[in-house]
Amino acid sequence: MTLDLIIGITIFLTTIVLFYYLFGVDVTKTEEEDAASALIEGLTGNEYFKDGELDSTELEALAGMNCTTMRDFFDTNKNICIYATDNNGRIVELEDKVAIGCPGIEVQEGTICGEE
Amino acid sequence: MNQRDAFFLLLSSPLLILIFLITLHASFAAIPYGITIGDTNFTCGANDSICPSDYVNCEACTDDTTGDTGAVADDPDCCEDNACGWSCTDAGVVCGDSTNEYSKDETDSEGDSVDNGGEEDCNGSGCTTEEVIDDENNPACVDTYYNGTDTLGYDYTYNCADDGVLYHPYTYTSNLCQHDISCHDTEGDGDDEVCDEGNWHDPDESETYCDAAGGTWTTGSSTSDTFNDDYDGDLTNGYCDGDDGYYVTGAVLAETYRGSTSCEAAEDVTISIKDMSDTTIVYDSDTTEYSSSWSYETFTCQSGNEVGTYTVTLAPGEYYLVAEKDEFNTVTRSIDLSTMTDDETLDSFWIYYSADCQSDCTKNDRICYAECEGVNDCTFPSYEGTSVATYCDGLRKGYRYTLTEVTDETDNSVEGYEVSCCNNEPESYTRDYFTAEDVVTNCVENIISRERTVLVNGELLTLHFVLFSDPKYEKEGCEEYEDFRCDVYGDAFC
Repeated sequence: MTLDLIIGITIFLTTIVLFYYLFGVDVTKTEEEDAASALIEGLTGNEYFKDGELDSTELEALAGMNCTTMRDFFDTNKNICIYATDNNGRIVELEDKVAIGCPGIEVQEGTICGEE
Repeated sequence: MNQRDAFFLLLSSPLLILIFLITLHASFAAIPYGITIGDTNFTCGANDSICPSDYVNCEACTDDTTGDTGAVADDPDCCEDNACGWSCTDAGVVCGDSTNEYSKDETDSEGDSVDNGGEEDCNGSGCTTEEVIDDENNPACVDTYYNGTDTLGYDYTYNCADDGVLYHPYTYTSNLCQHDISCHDTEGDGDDEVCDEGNWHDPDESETYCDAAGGTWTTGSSTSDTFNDDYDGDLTNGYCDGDDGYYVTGAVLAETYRGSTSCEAAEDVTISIKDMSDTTIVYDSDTTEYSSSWSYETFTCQSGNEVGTYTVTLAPGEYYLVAEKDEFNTVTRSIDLSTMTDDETLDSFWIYYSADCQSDCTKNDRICYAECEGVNDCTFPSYEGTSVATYCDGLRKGYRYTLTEVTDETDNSVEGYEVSCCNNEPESYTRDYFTAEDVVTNCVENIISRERTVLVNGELLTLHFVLFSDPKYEKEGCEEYEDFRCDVYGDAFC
């Protein structure tokens, strides 16, 4: 095996690694971003959000949704978790829940999203 | 006949006798027990064994024609006019139901005891063959019968025909009613009717029949199906039974809350169709039921077509339609169906919440009112001696009102007491500063957050929508998400 061949293989492998490192993550992340953008845009036509206001009945219904129902409600195939903060950035419970929606992430002191 | 045949007959004779006896017994058994509505009626003192069971108390019968002493079983003497007080020989009188026998215990035609109330105890078995059913749709014992010309026997109020008339077994050419010969209150007036001649016949209105065309009772002579039919052309659903008209269907919507422009299905609304000149007259009524697919109209006040539907049966005419439900204002609409020639669907209408104070201290408009204190079970709690009504008055229901709050500088958190308006109990709370970066994400990848400012119960809050991939339960510390895919995607992923 010649030195040229070794260098060539090394360059090739390095390029492959760099390609996936630089673009692979971004491709996945773009998918999430697209879903998030679509969700926000979809709020204007959403049954509960189109008037820019959540009343007690709507909030209660939203907080009562499980992961599957909430994904359907917001028409997304991504897992979704919703939490609220006041104008000081402090978290405000929604119907006695720190966050509502799908489990998978923890919000504030180990509370899993969707749990009371 | 040879010796062998004779021997065979001799041996089989017990069997032949047995068969003969069974046949004989069956022929007698075919005679219906109880009282027959028709030509034959049991009378006392004959061979029907309907003599008083307390004959033993008759020490002597004055008209003792049979030569016995006193009274014995099946003693026809005891059913004659005699010292025992029985008077059962009148034609058509059934032993046990005669007014003369009211105070006596008796035995009926089936050998069952008859109480001294005068009602024959048929236990249903005998009466079923008579095809007479009482007011409660049970086989009835008949204490009177009608032979087509004269009323014979005695009336008994428990029978269907309260005027004392009971009807023949229905053998008329029309078979419309033969499948249902029980008593029905087809007019809904508390007075039962029976089926006769293929029509519902009100015993209280002699020889009156339902005139389907007008939906009124009139003297009728025809028993043809056409004459008796209803507007709907369905002969199976009764006559003059409220279906003397077309089906009229409609839908009711309710405002989501008072003052709202959105609407929802109005369920459990009582719909009454009333006479325009005398509203005490109600032709028909119904209660609305939920329907998710009202196809007659489309609505802009809701995303679906959810309504409360009702159906009434009406003849052509003009009516008032009255819709009533608790917490709502009563709606009265005039409906003109005078040209109706077929089933009809009416336009939907709304019902609106009343402005009365409710138990949640709103006036059905999701606004809290201090003035509702003490009205219709509205009670505001107190916080440190002050009624919550003071704080919540005029705020949206569900508004989070901060009663007291203290900031903890060390961890930048706040704690205090708040009340969820209108009249919930004050609760303590702790609130920490929090951003999307603080979300713990070691079990998921590709997490992204978007924010939207929204009024939540009248309070401006920032809602954070966090999207993320499925958690990987294989990772250390993520075992609790093992059932995630099963829960979200179904059994195929379990």
